[in-house]
Amino acid sequence: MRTIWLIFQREMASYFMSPLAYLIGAGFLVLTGITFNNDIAFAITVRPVDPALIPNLLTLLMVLFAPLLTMRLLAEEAREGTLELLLTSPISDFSVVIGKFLSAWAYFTFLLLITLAYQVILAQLTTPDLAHVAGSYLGIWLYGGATLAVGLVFSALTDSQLLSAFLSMIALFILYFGESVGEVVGNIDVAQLIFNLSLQGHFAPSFAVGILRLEDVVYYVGLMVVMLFIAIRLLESRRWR
Amino acid sequence: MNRSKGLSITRDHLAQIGSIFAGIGLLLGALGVVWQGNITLFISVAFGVGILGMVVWAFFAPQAFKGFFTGRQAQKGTVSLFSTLLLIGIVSLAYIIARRESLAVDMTVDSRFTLDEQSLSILQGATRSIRPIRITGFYTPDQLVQREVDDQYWQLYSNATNGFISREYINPNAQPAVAIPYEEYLQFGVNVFVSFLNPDGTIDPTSTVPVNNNNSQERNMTEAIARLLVAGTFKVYFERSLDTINPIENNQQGMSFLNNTLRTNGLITEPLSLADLVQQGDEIPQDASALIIARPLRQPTDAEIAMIDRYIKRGGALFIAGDFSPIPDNFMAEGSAFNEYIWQTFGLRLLDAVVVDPASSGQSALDVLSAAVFSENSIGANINQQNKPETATLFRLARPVEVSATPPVTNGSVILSSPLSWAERDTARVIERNEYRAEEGIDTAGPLTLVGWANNQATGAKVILVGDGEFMTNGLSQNPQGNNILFLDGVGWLTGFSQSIEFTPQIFVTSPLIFVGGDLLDTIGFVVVIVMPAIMLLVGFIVSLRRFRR
Repeated sequence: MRTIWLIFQREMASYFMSPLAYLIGAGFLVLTGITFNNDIAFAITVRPVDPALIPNLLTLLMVLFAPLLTMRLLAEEAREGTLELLLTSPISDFSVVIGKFLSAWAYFTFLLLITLAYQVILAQLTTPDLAHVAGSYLGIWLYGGATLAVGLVFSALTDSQLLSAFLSMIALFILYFGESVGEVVGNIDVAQLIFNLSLQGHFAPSFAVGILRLEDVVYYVGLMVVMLFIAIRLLESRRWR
Repeated sequence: MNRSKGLSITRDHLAQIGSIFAGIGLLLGALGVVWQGNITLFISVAFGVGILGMVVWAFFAPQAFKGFFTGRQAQKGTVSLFSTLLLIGIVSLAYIIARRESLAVDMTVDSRFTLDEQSLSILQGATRSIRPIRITGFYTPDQLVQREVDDQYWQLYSNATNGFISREYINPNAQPAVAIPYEEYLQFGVNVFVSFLNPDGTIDPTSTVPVNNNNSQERNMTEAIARLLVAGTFKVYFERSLDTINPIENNQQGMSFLNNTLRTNGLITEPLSLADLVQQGDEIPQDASALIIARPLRQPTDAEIAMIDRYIKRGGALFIAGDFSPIPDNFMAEGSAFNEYIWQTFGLRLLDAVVVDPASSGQSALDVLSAAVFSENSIGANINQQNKPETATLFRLARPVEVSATPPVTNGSVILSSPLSWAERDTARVIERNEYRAEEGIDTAGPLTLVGWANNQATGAKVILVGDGEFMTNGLSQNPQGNNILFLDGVGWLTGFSQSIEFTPQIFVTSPLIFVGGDLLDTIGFVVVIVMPAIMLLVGFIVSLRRFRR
């Protein structure tokens, strides 16, 4: 645990010392801010503001942001040669991967918490469905964790940050658009299977509409566990490749 | 050590991409074969991509490729692969168990995904039904999200009835023959239905009730189930021997639209001849939930009135629509036996006059629109809805209804004309010269009752008296909608059908966003789009600056 904490601290420090992290954060806030403002303008006197508005937007944004947040985690270390030092130190592969993953997730959580400011603004204007908001934020938090875990796998796979980002974006796009598979696959059973494997398939019909389902929590946590396990195995493979 | 710098793509990178595509392609191909049992185009493409990836991998990194399949790499790789597959298996198992358990928490403050007490009470009644109920949904593959959301609602109904209400989803593209009986609804976007099941487990198509599957899923589904449960328990008779409107005729002067609508709602309709019953010495059937007398052209005989009286005394219900006509002995003319009977029994009667309404009318002042509606019961609840002008009623040459101030039973008005209207007594002038003017002391000043109701709470007898009959014809019953709303809600009130399916609208705590002025919106926009990202950039700039100085 101590080594995980050490790696976590180191990565968090590098996130908050890097101008890229602030650029990503600013871009993130511009996009969520525009969406929030537009939705308020359209909702006046017509309907309540969608409690899952920001989480819904983030399902797509994370396909783009997760690779940017994770591409450097292992790929940069490999490119710089510091990964070999790390692997020869008395720190397990598990600690390295988990520490780095938790730091990325913590940074995402930080960005997510900033967007709660929108709910504070809303609470001054109307009666938001706070339980629904909490449910959808929990959903996107897990969703974000899963996308970051996928990104970490590709960061462990290659020593090129660009290649890592490119490959994880493709993988996340496939996982994201699995929800729309019904538009191209005529067989509804196959479409349902792919839908159940997709990231959106466990967000749109549940967290987004105000339902917290155990199966969706298991899906995201399971995806994280499997992806982190693969990342650890990939890191470990550097010793015997 | 070979370090790649900048954006250069090395042979190893290409080999890595090849190996990834090889792995994904072969895995998808293998899964496809297991799933479908044969080689489809998708599977062929997946295998093709996998093989191509392997070729790329072998071409750009032959040593790594060889090492993967032989020696230490193969051994370690196999262990990693199998341990990963084992973990995927464990996670999949956990997921399958979680999915089967269907554990879900409704997070909405309005409890949108929780059945309320009223629904649960109706569902409790449903489980006492002889036949199980099936919810059938038609969803194409591109409606998977909608199907998943709807299924969460329908699952509540299944769970609340311990599976007595089951669910079935059909892809109309894959099973077009199954969808054909529902085609007329499917083309209008109605894709969910409830039906009773036959003993052999098949759907009883005659019992099918469509469900309006919009945002109020609970209300609509519970109402549909309530309709299904009461279907066949209410029987409405259309009187035919008084030269009334033909409920089967589908031309402009017929009344097939309203008749069919009643049937679609689960009510049984039958014709009935008072004259034949009198001749045969029979009575109005015991199962008559209501008797419709739609624009008769002759007066009922004393024997027919006596038969109606016996029906009323045992709690019968009458819907009487009497039109204006210039003939001397018009139906329910003032002083006629039947008009007097209704006056004595219910405190309502038709007057020999024509309602003229210059303030609330259609093409002429003789086309009278509903100016005011009393919604003390369900008859007028859906007429003259706010911002829906089509829900007004329109009567052409309507007769006023007099409502007794000292009635023998509870009575009242449903629809009134405007205060500027009057009851024109000189009907000959109206018919012959199309002239009308209010004459003090002769004509009755508005507002006038156009539709009245009465209810004998001791016997349960009910009556609705309308001063117009033409509104029920196919030509006028659909335009404006208020005309058919009046008839359907009227019959619903008379038979008790409305009370059986009545379902209080859900009240939502969350409300539309309301605030005044664009300034506040501009301020919010400025804060969330400019200030918040700017603060983030500023912090980043300060951190970078301090780092640079160090």
